[in-house]
Amino acid sequence: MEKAIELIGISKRFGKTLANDNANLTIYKGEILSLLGENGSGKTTLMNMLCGLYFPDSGTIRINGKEVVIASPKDAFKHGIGMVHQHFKLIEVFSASDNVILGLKEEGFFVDHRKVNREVLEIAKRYDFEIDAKKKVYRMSVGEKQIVEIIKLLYRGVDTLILDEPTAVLTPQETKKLFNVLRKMREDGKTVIIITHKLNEVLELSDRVAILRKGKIIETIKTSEANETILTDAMVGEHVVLEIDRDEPKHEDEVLKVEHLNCTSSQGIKLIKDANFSIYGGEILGIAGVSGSGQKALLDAITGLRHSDMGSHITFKKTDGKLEELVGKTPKSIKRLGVRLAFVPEDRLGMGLVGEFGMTGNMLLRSYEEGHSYFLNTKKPHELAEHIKEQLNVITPSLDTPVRKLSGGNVQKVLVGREIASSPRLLLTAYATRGLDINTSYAIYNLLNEQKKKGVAVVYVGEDLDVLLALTDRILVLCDGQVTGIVDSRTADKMTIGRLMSNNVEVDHD
Amino acid sequence: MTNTKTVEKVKKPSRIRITKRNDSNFFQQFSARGLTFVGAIVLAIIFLWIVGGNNPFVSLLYIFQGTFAPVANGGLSITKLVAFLKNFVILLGIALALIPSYKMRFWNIGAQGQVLIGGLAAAFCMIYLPNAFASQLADPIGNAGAYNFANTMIILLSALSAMVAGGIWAFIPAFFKAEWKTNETLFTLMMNYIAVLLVQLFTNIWRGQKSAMGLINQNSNVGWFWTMDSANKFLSSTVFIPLILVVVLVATTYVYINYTKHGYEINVVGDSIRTAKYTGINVKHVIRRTVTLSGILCGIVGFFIVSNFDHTISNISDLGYGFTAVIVCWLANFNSFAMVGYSFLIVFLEKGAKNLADSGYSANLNEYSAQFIVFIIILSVMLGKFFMRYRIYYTFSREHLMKSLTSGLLDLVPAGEEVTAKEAM
Repeated sequence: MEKAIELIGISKRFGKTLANDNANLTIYKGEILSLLGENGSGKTTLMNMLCGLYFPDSGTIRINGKEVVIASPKDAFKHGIGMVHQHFKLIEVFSASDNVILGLKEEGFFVDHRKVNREVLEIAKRYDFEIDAKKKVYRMSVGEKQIVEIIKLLYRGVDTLILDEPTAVLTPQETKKLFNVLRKMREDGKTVIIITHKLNEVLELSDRVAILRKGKIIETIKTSEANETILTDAMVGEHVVLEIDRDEPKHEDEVLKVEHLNCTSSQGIKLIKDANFSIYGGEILGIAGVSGSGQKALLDAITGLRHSDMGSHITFKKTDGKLEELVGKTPKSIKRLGVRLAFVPEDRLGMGLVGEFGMTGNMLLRSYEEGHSYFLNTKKPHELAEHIKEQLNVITPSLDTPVRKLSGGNVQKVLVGREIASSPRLLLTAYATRGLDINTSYAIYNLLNEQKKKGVAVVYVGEDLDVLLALTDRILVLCDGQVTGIVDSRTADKMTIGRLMSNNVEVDHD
Repeated sequence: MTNTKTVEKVKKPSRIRITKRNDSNFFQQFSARGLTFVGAIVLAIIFLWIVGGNNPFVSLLYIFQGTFAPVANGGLSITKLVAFLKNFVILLGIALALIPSYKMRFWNIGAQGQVLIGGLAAAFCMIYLPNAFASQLADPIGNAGAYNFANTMIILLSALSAMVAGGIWAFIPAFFKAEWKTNETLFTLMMNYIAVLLVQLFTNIWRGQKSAMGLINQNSNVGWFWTMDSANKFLSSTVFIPLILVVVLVATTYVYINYTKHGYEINVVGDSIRTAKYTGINVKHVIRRTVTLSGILCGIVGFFIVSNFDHTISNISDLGYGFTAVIVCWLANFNSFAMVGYSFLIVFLEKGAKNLADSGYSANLNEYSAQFIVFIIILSVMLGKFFMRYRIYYTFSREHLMKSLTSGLLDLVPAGEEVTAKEAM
């Protein structure tokens, strides 16, 4: 086979994190290649460098044997490389064909819409797409939008297509259609790279699979020689021993009981499918799953930020033994019921904190309403901020320095500190250590363990399986909105969890 | 076939790069602001010199005397000062009224309409209420008690209805924004047109056969806002009480935004609606309440224009400050104390430009060319702010650019923010 693209020794660093570490990859003409890896393994970063969004810190890119510089998406187009991103970059009020020609200088000042429509339809016919060239993007389903993105690339003469998790947003039927299209492209001599972490898709579609771990290409296997076990093993790697103190869970009260929980997005997509589980005081329940499997919806449903479907039940047992139904309540009414629930959301500055406020101002978020005065009482929050600063060693010039100016670790300490200070009975955390360095991560683990010792029910949504296995007592695995299993962290191994995470057997939903 | 088309020419990346400064120290702030301001003055002098064709410093003196004009027996002209302060109070008042909305990032550009509708409501009361209080007003000297009571009632009802009218004018777009996420900028702008037309409609009705509306209650002065009883021309002017009120308002808005629970909610909603929801703040309620408050304050300004300053109303009663206040608000970064300075500067320059044109010192320096000076100075203030926040790089060659890209000096795409812009290229 003829080599199309070679990536040699590519490295990219963002601040303290090494996103890609000396990655080497060869891509052949006319193949479908899968890039497989866990979240944060550097798949997307690597491809972003190929399509001109990032520039590598070191390493070379060769196309057809010649060394090239790709400094912008335009350079990438020049070499026939284009990428469909996870979040589509379309103008909502434009039609499909208008989006296709967007930014093309060749079209001149006046656009011959009929010609463009005809050409778009030609491309569609060639690869069996179903598309209405005149339809406005805001009227389109996610699948249709993706087709527009692909046609946009084909129209520009791209012969290497990169798709970033193309099936994450598609229904099984749409996925099937997409795969047919991609196979047609391969027949047409085009190269297709798909970024994914779904094993069954890799096995079904691709010719070869490259596996990334911690920014490196670990292995490249022919799909015909691979199976799920081989891929999972390569993806998760060996067990890393983390020294996190872990006490036996006390299993006190059943603090939260979730029964038949269903959530549907405003677009009608099922986010949570009939979830049933309990969380006990004095334990840490881990939640694992590839990103977008329903972790966010689950936490939002518990905290009242998202409506649950009819028939769902989330029951909270208060300290006095009284049971409260949380479904149908807003965050405020939950607070008024005396349900002591703390939540460390994934988006720290966009949701958990106010970036413009200092530490004191952010402490106020949970308590500003207290008291009858019309004016804010900043005395207690100030003391609390001072306390958290000392206890958790937050590095900040002053308590009034806007928290957005602090480093990621310090921001997280402020957020976790505040949530713990409300002495919760249930503490929900989402990706509490994402982007943090080892020391800060351990500081957070210790905080969670302390809460566990106090009898708090702690939920830890995480992505690093090593951490989940070392820190938590039980792990609930989500896949595509479904609870695929709850395992004991002391006895389970990564392979089992990995398989539960990608338990994506082709199911026809109707 | 089109799909084999390749993009042949690749444009080189731009050599000029603009990046945000993380922090600027005092010296940088001072030099950025000071230097641009000095530059603007120099530019203004050159402009006056070339266009005016005579001594630019005399022209500058005329600009200065637009506000601070000497009189024959020494001292300053109270008339000019009062005229200046009237505009200053109105501009500052509207700008302050906008703070709550803008802090919440509700881009209310409907101050003009909110002021005018408030003024219209006040005019309504001044014109029609005297009939309702006819018996009490009948004998101002013989039955002074009844007269004063009725007059006070009319003034208070005027103020109240102005507040209600301004509040409603702002509540409507706020309600639509909260419920259906309509675009507040367009909505408030459209509300302006309605208000302007309503004012035109009613002034036409009220003037009847006359060529202009004239002063409301010109002979009786009923419904005219009080002035101080003093021999001092300044203390007894219409501007004295509003000036005190606006100074109080500067402090009040500052306290409201920074030290009250309402202000806290406004700040949270402005920073992130998701954070507000997470905290349990009722976002819709906060939007409605805050914007209505802005409208009420604008309504009060309208009341003062009609009942206190002009004693009449027209579709330009707000002096165009409904929009100028938006600029003041932005320049001052929504800080009420900084607004005092910017309002002062803008009105001072306007009055100066007018004075220069009126003086006839140079035939070429009419009011329009004089206003060009205003433009230069305002622009310099904005440029100063720009240099304070951004740093401009110039790279000499493509290789140099590549090097700075790789060295991380120019981290152009740190978090995918610029991806869209680059894609669209």
